[in-house]
Amino acid sequence: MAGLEGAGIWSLPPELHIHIFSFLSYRELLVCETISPLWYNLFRSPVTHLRRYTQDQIPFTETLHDKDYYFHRLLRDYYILVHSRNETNISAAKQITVTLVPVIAITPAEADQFPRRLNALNINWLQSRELSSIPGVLTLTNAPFLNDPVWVRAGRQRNSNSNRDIWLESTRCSHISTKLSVSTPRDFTIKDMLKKTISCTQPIPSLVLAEHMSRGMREMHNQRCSKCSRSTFSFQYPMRTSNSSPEYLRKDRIARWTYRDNIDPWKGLYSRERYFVNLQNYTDEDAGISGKLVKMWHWGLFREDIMSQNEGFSTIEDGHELLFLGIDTIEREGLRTDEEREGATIDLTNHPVVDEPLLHLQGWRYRHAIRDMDWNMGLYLMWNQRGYRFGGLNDREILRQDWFSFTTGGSSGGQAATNDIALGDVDLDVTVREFIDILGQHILKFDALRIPGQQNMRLRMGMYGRLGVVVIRNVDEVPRIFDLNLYPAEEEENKLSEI
Amino acid sequence: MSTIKLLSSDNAELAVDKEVAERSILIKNMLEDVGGDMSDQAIPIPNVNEAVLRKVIEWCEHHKSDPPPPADEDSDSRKKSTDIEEWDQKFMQVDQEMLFEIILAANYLDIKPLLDVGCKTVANMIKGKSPEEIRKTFNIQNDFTPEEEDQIRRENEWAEE
Repeated sequence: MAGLEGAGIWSLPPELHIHIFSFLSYRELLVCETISPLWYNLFRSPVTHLRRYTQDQIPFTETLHDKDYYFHRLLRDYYILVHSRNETNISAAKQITVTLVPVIAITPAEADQFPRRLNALNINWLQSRELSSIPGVLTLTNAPFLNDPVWVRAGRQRNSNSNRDIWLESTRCSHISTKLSVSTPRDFTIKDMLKKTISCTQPIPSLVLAEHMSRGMREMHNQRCSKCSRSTFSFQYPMRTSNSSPEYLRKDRIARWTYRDNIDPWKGLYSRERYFVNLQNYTDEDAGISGKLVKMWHWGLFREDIMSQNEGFSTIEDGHELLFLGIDTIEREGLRTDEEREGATIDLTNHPVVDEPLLHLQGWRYRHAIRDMDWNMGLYLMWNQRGYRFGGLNDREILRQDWFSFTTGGSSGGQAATNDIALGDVDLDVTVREFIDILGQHILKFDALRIPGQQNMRLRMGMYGRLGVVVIRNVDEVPRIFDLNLYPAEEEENKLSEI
Repeated sequence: MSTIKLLSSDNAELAVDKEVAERSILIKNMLEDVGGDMSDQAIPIPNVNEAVLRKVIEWCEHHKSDPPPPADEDSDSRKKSTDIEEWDQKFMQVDQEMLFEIILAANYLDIKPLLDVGCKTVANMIKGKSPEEIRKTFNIQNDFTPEEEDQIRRENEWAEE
C-alpha cells in the first residue's frame, strides 16, 4: 500500500467505521479500541450500539447501568452458554468461567433449536458439538458483565421491588412438557443465573428464558410436534413488543445524550458543523464575541453534507447552528460564496446562535459511575502538546497536557449548582455562549503561552473523568485555525540560543 | 443496450451502460424518478472524482450479472466471513487513499456489495494485527496518553487470553 497523503482512514465517516467493525470479532474490536480515541469512543458510544442493534436487527437486551457496554456488545456478537454439567461446580466456585460462542458459528439448523431471542441459556445445545471445535469461542473468567442484571428496566408502571420469574419452558410439545419457574429478585445478575441450580427429572430439548409477564406482552409461537403433529403454543422471550421499545434504546433519549439530531443521532454535532469561528477576537472583559469564519473540519461526513448542500441537494432543513455556524446563518449574513465565507468576520455578541443550547448531558446516566468510581460529570477541554520524534508510543514525549474542566449551571446557581452537576444530580446544559466562553479563555491562555518547540496540539472536548467522551477530534490544524503561534519563528529561538 | 453519461466531480463525462450504472441504487432511483430518459444529459456525481468513478464502474461492469442483494438482508450471514472473492481481492489492491475513496463512493452511490467488499478489505487489514501494527498500517498516530492506555488496558484485561 502506498503511504497516506490525505486523511486516510479518518476520511471515512463514523458509520463506515462502524460498518468495518461489524466484520471484526469481539476480540479484534477490543484491539481496535486501543488504537485511537476516536475508535474507542465509537465503541463506547451508546449511539454506536443503537445503530448496531437497529441496523442489524439483532435482538438486544439491556443493562441497568450505562457505565459499561460489555454486556450489550457481548450479546451482539455472542451467546452466553451455561455448562449444565458443571452447574453445581459453578455455584461453589469463586471464579466463574463462561464460554461465549459467536452467533456466526451457529448453523441454521441449530438456530431453529436455539431460541433466536434468547441470549443466555440453552443447556443442551452443546451436546451435538464439542466446544473446542467451534471457531471463535471465547472463554472468560470473572468478566465484568457477569455482574450485570439479567432483567431490564421494564417501565415505570412496574413495581420495582417485585421479583421476576425465570421460566424455563419446553418449546417443543407436551410429549416432553416441562415448565420450571424460578423466582428471581430484580437485581438478579448473570452470575446469579449461572449459579442457579436447576434440577429437572425429564429431558428438556430446548429451554427458553422468559420473564414472567402478562399474557398480552408475550409472544406466542405456534409449533408442531414431530411425534404427534399437534400444534402447541409456547411463550417465548417477551423482550420486545411492537408498540414499545425499551427505555434504554429509545432514539430520542440517546439523541439527547450528547447529540442534537433526533433523526440521525450519530450525526449530531458533526452534521451541523460548517464553519468554525475563529475566536482570536474573543475578549472576556466586555463579553463581546466576534469571530472569523474559517474552513470546516476535514471530516468526511460533513464534507459530503457540505458538498451536497452547495450543490443544492440539501436534505437538511432548518438545521441548528451551533458554535459552528451553519450554511443558513452564513447566507443570512450575506455570505453566499465560499470566497465570501472564507475570512469573513461575524459579530456574534448579540447573535441568536450563541444562546442556543449546545449540549445536554443527563445526570442520571452517569450517577451510578459517579458514585462508584468517584468521577465527576462535566466537560473538559484537553490540549495535548506533544513532541513526536519518531512517532509511536515509545518515542513520544508529552510536553504539556492541559485539562480545563467546567461544569456550569448557567447564570444562577453558583457553586452548589456546580456540585450538583458534578455529582450527576442535575442535568448539565451548555449553551453556545458558555462554550465559547470557556473555549475562548482557553485559547487566549494558550495563545499567551507561546511554547517553543515542535508540538502537536489537539483539542478534545469530552466528559470529565472518562465517563465517556462527547466529542473527540484530532485537530492537526488547530494552531492554524486559531491563528496560534505554536511554531514560533526560528529566529526567536535563534536569538534565545545566542543569548 | 442504452447508455447513460455520468459526470464526475472533476467534470469528466463517462459513458456507461444503463444496466451497469443501475448497480448503484442512487442512480437507479434517479433514473426512475426522471422516467429513465437521461440519454442527453449527464448525471452529476458530485462526490466522486473521475479516477474513483472509473474504478466503481469497472466493479459494476464485472458484477453486472450478479443477483441483486436480497431486500431482507440476512446480516448474520453477511457477517459470517470476511472472505472476498478473488477478482474483488485483486480489484481492491489499490493504495489506501483509493480504497477509502472507493468505500466512500460505494456508500454515496449506494452500492451495498461494493461497500461490503471495501469494508471487508479494511477489516482484513486489521485482523490478526497488534495495535502497533494497525497504527502503522493506517498511519494512525497514537493519541492516547500513557495513562489512558493503561486505563484501557485495565478495562480490557479480563478479555485477554
